[in-house]
Amino acid sequence: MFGTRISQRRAVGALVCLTAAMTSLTACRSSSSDSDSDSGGPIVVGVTVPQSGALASYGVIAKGIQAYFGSVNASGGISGHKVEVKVLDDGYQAAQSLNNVRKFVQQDHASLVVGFGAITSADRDYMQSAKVPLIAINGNADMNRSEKYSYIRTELSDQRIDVIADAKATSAAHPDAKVALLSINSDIADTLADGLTRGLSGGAKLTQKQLYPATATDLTAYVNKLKSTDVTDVFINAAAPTLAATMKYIHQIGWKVRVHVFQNNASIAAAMSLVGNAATGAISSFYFKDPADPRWASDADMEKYRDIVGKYAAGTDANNLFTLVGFTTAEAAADALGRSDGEGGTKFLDAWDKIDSTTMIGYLPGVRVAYDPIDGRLFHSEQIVEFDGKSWQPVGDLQTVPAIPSSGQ
Amino acid sequence: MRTSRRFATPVMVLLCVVLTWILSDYQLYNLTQVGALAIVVLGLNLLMGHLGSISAGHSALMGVGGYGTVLLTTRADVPGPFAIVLATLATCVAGLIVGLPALRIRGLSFALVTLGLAIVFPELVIHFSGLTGGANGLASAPVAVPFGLALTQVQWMYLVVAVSLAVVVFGFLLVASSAYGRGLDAVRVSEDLANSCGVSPGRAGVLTFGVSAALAGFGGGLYQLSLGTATPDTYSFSLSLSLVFASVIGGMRGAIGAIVGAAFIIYAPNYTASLGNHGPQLIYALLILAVVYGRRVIELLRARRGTVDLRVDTDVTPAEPARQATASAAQRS
Repeated sequence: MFGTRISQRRAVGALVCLTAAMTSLTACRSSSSDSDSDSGGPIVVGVTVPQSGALASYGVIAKGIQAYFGSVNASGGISGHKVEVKVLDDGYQAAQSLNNVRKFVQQDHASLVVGFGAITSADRDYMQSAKVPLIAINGNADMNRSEKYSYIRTELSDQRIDVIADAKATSAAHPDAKVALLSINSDIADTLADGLTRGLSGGAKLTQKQLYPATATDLTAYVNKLKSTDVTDVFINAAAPTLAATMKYIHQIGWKVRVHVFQNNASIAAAMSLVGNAATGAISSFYFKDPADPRWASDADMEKYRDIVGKYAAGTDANNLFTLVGFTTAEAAADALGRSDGEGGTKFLDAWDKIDSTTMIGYLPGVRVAYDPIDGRLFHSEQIVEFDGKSWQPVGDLQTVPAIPSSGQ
Repeated sequence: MRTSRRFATPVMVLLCVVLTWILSDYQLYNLTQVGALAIVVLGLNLLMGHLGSISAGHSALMGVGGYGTVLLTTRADVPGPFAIVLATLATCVAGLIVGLPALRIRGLSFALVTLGLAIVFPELVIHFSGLTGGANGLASAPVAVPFGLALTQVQWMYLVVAVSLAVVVFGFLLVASSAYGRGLDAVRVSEDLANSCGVSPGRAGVLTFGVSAALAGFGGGLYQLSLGTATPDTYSFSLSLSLVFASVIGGMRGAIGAIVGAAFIIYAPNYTASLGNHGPQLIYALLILAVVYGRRVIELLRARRGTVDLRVDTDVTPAEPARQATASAAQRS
């Protein structure tokens, strides 16, 4: 009835073998990690980042984390424990990210997990139910601290803070500015639009909003549409290669508009160096030092950063901003772990919430890294910068933008 | 040999049950996902392996089942099992509607229609964020273990999916070996032949797409309940590609192959990341090549040893389904 009996028997046999192979493979892994969780064993930090697919370039975050904890281990670890960083690829797929965090928690007994991007929002419910801290490298306002997700913390600022600083400076310099937002069509667009609305004042107003689908890499049609309006300033939120191509196109068609970009996408190595002179005059608000900026070529902190990356993550591009983002995430996590005696859970969260430093590596001079309970973020200092063709030059003084609570969205 | 055949199925059932208490929750969670995806791949096998139509839109159909289940459980307080049944029916209806073009178009043109579905679905989810939770997703209600059974939520989901998969595998084998299944084979081999046997290719296409969609919805609902949070990214176009890949590497016509393919897409990412940025694509490409050309290479090697006559082997296979379809049609008439 169901085909030949022999093929059926072979197929069932194959399935039994497959099941046995898969489960024994995972069983071997779990047995080794079970012993790791014994007292005196390493502190396990799980990292889920895209190492394949369209956003694989952000995978260097893991290298930055490994480099920092490598240096921590070399100097004795944290409270007598070595830190073991386990990295899994999520391909920037929410389901795979969720799968990875489950593995870190259930099999590797991770003390904390680090995730990247908007897909971390899908991990929140599980991490909350598992009562394991998740540090999300995510600037979406929706990730701000809330009672519902008390185990979630964030690296990066609430991106409204970045936008507000830039919008305030724009309003002051150009009171009649007509501002457009060109952004990927996701919740981050709402975050950015909210920041612009809050930051613009006087006659300066958000007049245009162009949202493109996640799959789009050619934004010329959107640029042409905006060019036909009376827009004077355009805020572009796009991945680095798309941002570079868009800025080049704006220059090619001779559109005299002030271009505003976001630090996450506009690092010199990933975007601005590809645009060249056409990027001159681009405006942004920063709190990180751009590792590829000639301004920091002989900066002592950045030399230390490059030295650690070179020693503990050999072959990694230290000029990539996201290597630095991974590094600083680990720096903050190590600071908190040091004060929680290497423990995860609520003890780690309490320690994280007491982070307050102006000496951490990787930040612009004067930037204070301090947890604010209002939004649950570490960063509220912003420096307006303008690109001079080679380097990001500061414009005015460092600003502090007050935190915005989650309910304020 | 006969004894071992008799015991193969009970041993499998026993193994599946015993695993519930042997494996950790994470290992069971992985097997649950394999089972749920295997149900979807079985539906795809019916469409691709038997009817000969390609669907690049099964991620969207899974999404209808997944989101339907989550919405019904969280917004309408419908119990999980009923929610999955309702979501399956909704996906079946959606599949029948999407399958309507199959009355007139075939092959790659039909695949393009389904491709559009896969691309549009995540955008629709984001657009109707008030209902779906948008890009941040929508958490499903926790699965309750019934009757006070001493099982964890993960163990219970594993058993539910294992039983569901067994039922679907049985149904798949039944359909594949029925007159309807042989009619689909006839459509795949030659539409003229199918028409001459009284099988309408268009009607068979729409009906099969509906059944395949229902399985996608059913698998999607189970997958979603085990996963926890539904997001647009979960049902992106790349999931469609993974499902097609799972169908191909498992062998598009078999039931066991669907499970093997589903296991590959769940377990492979854990082992391919270390191969670098394009590691997974490389492994996928090598496997596809192995599936497509592997048998031919083995035959060539065996032929060089003089154990296989290639001329005889290659001539027999394509005509076999047609012969069976003709025989089946003759029986019906």
